Amino acid sequence: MNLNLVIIVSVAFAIAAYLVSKVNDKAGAFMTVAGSMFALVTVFLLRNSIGSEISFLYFNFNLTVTGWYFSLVMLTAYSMTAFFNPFWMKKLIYPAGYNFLYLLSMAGTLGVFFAKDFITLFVFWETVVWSSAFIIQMGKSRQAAYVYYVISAIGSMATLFAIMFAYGTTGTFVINEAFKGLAGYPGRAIVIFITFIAAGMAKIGIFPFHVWLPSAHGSAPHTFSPVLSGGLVKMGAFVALLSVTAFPAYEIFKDMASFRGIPLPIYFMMALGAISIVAGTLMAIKQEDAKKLLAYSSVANGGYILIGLLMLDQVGFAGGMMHIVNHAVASAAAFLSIAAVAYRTGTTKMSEMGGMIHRMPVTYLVYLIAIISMAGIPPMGGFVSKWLIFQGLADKGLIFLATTAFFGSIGSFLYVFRPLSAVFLGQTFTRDLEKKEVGFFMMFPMLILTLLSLLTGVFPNIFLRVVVEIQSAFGMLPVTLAENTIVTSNGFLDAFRVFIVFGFGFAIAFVLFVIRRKSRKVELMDTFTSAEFIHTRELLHYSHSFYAPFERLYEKAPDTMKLYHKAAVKINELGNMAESAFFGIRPARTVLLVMGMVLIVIIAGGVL
Amino acid sequence: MMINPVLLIAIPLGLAFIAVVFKKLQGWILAIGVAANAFLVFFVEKGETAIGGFKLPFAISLVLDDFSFIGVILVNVLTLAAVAVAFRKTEKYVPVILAGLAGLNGMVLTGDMFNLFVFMEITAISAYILSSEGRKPEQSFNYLVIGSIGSVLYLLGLILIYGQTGTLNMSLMAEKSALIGQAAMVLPLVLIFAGIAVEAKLLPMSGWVRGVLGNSNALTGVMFASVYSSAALMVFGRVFSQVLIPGTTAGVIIIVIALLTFAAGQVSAFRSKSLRQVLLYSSIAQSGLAAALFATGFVFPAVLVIINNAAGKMIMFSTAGNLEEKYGTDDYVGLGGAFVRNMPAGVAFTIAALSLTGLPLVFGFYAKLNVLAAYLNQGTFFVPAVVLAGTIIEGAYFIRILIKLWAPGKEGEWADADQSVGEKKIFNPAGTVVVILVTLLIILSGFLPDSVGKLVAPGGGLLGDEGPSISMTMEKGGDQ
Amino acid sequence: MGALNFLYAFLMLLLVFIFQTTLTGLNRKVTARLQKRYGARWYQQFLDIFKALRKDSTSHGWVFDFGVIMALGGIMATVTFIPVAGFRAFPGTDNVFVISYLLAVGMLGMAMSAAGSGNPWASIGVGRALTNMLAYDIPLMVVIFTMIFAFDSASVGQLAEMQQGMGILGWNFFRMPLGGIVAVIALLGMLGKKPFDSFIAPAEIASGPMVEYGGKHLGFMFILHEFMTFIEVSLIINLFFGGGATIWEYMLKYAILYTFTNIISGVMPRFKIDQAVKYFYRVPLAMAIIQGLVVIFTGLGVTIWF
Repeated sequence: MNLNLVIIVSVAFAIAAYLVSKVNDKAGAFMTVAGSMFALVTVFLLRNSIGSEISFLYFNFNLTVTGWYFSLVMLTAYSMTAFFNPFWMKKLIYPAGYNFLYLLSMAGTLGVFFAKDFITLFVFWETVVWSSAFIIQMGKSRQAAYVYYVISAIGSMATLFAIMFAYGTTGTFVINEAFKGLAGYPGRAIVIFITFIAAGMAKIGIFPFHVWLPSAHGSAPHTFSPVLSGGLVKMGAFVALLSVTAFPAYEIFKDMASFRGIPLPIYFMMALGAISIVAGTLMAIKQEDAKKLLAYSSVANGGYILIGLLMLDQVGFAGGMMHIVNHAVASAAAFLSIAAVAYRTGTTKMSEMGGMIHRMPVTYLVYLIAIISMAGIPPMGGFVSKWLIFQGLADKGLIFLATTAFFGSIGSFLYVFRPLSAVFLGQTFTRDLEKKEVGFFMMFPMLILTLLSLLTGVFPNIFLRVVVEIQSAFGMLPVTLAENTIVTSNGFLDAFRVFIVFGFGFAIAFVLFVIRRKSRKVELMDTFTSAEFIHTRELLHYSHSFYAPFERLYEKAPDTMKLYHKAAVKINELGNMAESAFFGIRPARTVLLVMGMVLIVIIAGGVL
Repeated sequence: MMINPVLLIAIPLGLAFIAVVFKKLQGWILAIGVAANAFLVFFVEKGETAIGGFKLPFAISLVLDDFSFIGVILVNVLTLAAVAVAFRKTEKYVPVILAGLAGLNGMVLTGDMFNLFVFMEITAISAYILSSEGRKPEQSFNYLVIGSIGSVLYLLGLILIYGQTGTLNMSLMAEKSALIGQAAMVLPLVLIFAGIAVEAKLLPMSGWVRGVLGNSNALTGVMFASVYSSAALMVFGRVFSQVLIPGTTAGVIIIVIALLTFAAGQVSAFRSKSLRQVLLYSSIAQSGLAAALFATGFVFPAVLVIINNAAGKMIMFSTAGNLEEKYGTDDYVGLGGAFVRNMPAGVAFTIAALSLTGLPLVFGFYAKLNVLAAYLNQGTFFVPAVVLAGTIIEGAYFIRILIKLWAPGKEGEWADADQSVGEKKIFNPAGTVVVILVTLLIILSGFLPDSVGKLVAPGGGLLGDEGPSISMTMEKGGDQ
Repeated sequence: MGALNFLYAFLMLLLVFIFQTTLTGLNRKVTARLQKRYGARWYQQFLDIFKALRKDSTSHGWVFDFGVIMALGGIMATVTFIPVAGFRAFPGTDNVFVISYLLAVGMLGMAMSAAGSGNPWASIGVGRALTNMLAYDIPLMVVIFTMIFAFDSASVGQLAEMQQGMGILGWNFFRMPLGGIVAVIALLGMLGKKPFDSFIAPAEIASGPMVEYGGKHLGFMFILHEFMTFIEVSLIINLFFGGGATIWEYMLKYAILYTFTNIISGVMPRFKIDQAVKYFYRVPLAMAIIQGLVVIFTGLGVTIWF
């Protein structure tokens, strides 16, 4: 199958899904499952045709190993989430529109990853932006879609500027050539680098563009948040990747001032990534809504990805690439499990739930594995990628970035534990005592993602082998892999062995536990309460402002959103000014303006 | 079969007189008139035609080249569309619309600076009358005053130039004015600019727009925003990129004013809460952009901007006018969910908004790319930066409207169809068909941009510019 | 990785348990003497653990049990990764990041089990424990990061061996004195010793993570605590005090350091949890970063510089 056919068939699926949904929305939603699964399988099979090129209309595609890798990650998020779609049709204002845009945005992402030239890339990029904006508005907040679109627009317009500027300088749009000629124009190169990476930063949610994630991820339809966080955010990583490979930033800036071997423009971007880690972590810790919390965690994880990719070295870069997979899988799984809970309870507010583990044990396990990976704890995938990034940072001695990376890593223990404790553990609310686990159709994608998290953690080399290919394709020294082991200059990691030893420890503990006398099972309300009689389950559940003492330390932290509000107010004021100055409804003013203009011209003419 | 371009002026003018006499048949006359013109415009003979019995260059001449061809197509087809969408509103204005159409065709076609003035006046008078539909006499009067000032300034400028060149024929004037020193041309150029700026909605002559377009209905909105302003901008292009090419000083003045118009329009649209007000300010902004492009000599991108704006505003103003009529308000906050039961209208409006913002997959993207590429190929990056900043603001206010109209519902709750303002149909069937046709054209041309480029500039360029500044298929000027 | 490794690992667990529990018992006596009490017998800790294991227990659902098993399993796995005086149960797994993050599995299990008990006091305790971790771990990690950069190795065993054979000044504690002090302060936080013990709240029996535990669950928690102490103290011994050329040297250093933390703890008041965070981010973190900058930009500390 050809590259363009995958996209065309996906679009065809989108149109078909729209038409079918008009008759029966559930059937239409199943079309999204079929469409995304089709794309996933087809793209997977395209492995052998890497390097092929094809043109269609004014689009030029070619399949690189990078594009293949990214599109598989994206399609995993899309196809797994699609399994949830049929169950949420009732909630949506436009079921048909949703199904159509779901598959259209998916086709758009494929176009981005397959693009051979920047026009193709940009066209598909913007298609994804507006189609996903129209999906987000169907969720819980209109404001969210607005913020999402505007922030994306700021990024993508900057990128368009960079593309066109480079074109004006080098005369080509082809991704691998457009920026090569910039070495002779250092001034322009800096402008182009900073503007080009902007779209990627906006999409990953790097500070100061991160404000759209909590509102959009938190308010989008529950079935789209996993795609946003697991998939679409990674599109930004793709552009960030291009900004150091297609745009040979290290080569072009090699004569510039640098910090520990990293040219300052690149270091500046990495520093923004570091700020995102800290800001994302701190904000995630104090959220009260599970989806918003996970959204902020995406901000923090985006920071890791950016730092990893921009290092463009043997180890850190591999970590960044690996983290793209890990975060996509873990965050999609976490969002899906929250969606599953919301499907039963109808809320994502953590203070309105508790003890769901006793009603939905499988969903709980899915969430548990997802957060273990997200927090970077072995034996899940997140650990491997964070390990690689830490090694890369240590190699280069990037101490400030490392400090924030450690902070984000430990901080993630804090925030991922909150939904675990508030939603799943503790007392089950009276209202939820009769709730059931979700059906198999929803459980299936969650289990697949859980297994993927485990797979990336136990056999990371399966994925890293592709990363090695990507690194070789860009002419970098690839990360060294032995059979099961990742070797770096600072030491090596055998993830499989760690997993086995963990199993060994667990087995001993288990045996020890079983051979001791069986314990008596007591009711959850049967706890120590200092001799108080409490009969209300809801009162015996601690979930609101969980880390209150810690949150107090930074409650006065500035809110980035205010910056954007201020900018909007300023534009509004300018508009008021312009309106009263130029578009007032008194002709006298117009006459005055004309006289002024003529006078200026006469004076200017006199001067000349 | 090729027909004489004068018919494009003669038919509507003649029918206008007939319509005055046969009041009962007005509807038919209008329909026949605009339909005939929209059909005949594709068969008009190219070249310069002399009328009035004199020989060129002393005769009154009509020039139909690639440039004015686009102009007449826009004028006639969009008039047909406007009439088709709001046929019922045309009752009182049949002669006015027909006379206006004649004037517009004349404006675009004429090859004579004084005739241009005459046609502009005919057009303006019909515009003043149409503006009275808004039932805001003060605004129409305001329009009249500003229009008259513009006319006087235009004449003044023309006299000054005539005094120096001794001709009114455009091509002759172009030759002779090139020999005159730049300094002497600055004042007349600025005066002529002010004259054309009235209809083109450029600063500082745009004081009328808010009063008139802000109270427009589906008919007058489309007429003013799409038809009149396209014709005026085409004239602007003709005058400033072929006849009186501005030198450095005048060029800078005009470009600065045009960009100021662009910026002022965008920020004003951003602060507006009324749908029509947003649209009219956006029109002002687009005019500013086109004017800046013309004044720099980038004719092809400017024409794309005009076409894009004309098509988009046709859809949007007719939607806005109808919404105001059906719901009694066009404050978009009060129109939450108006598209919920109006799928075709909503999709058309959305596509138009995407195109105006210059987003991909629709025509506007091609226009935007050409604008950017034109400047950046030249090494100017200030203007593209302004344009892109404007685009961000533009996208912001359009998406705000779209979200409001598509997704009703309280903040914090899922979008809900029950929260929408109502289920009233926005367009009648004929209107729906027209709007969908225009939408399809916008989408189709978005997929085949280079073919559109060839249609717009069959000879590769317009009025001496280089034509497309960028090829999307990268055949030329691309990577190869 | 053959069966022999697992046998070694098992034996190591056993010996570590005996060693650390004895030490804990002895230290109870030390603390008592500081407070002018006589103190319990040195084997009292063993008695406590076995008594708890023998008693009846109550369970609040499967996650309450599962968390305990996961915690002890994770912690025991981590113990087998610790290199002791050149001995490694599983060669090649002593990467410092692996150890510090595998430790987190155990902590997560503990937190899960405690929160799963349904008692809000337990959840509050967990919240504090995690906050405390966020406080002490960052400075420590920065120092460890510096060390990896300086010696190009992230293996705890290798880092320990590199300090040996150069006398006492070869220890990283003296090569990187600021970092060494940070590490010892962080150790106090890790062990939950005063002034950083508010999360365990040992004085207020009923308001910590342990509130719902009894019987074998409590016994497990005691065992787990002994193992965790071993991991934490061992990390510091290996990274900053040269590990040990022989097992005896290692045990001696270990006992001294552990007793030292207990003595400090015995005379200290207690930080509130947010005060602890503030303190760690003001003093030790600044020291750690200064140490890091010195090492990275001057190379001072990579070799012996006294």
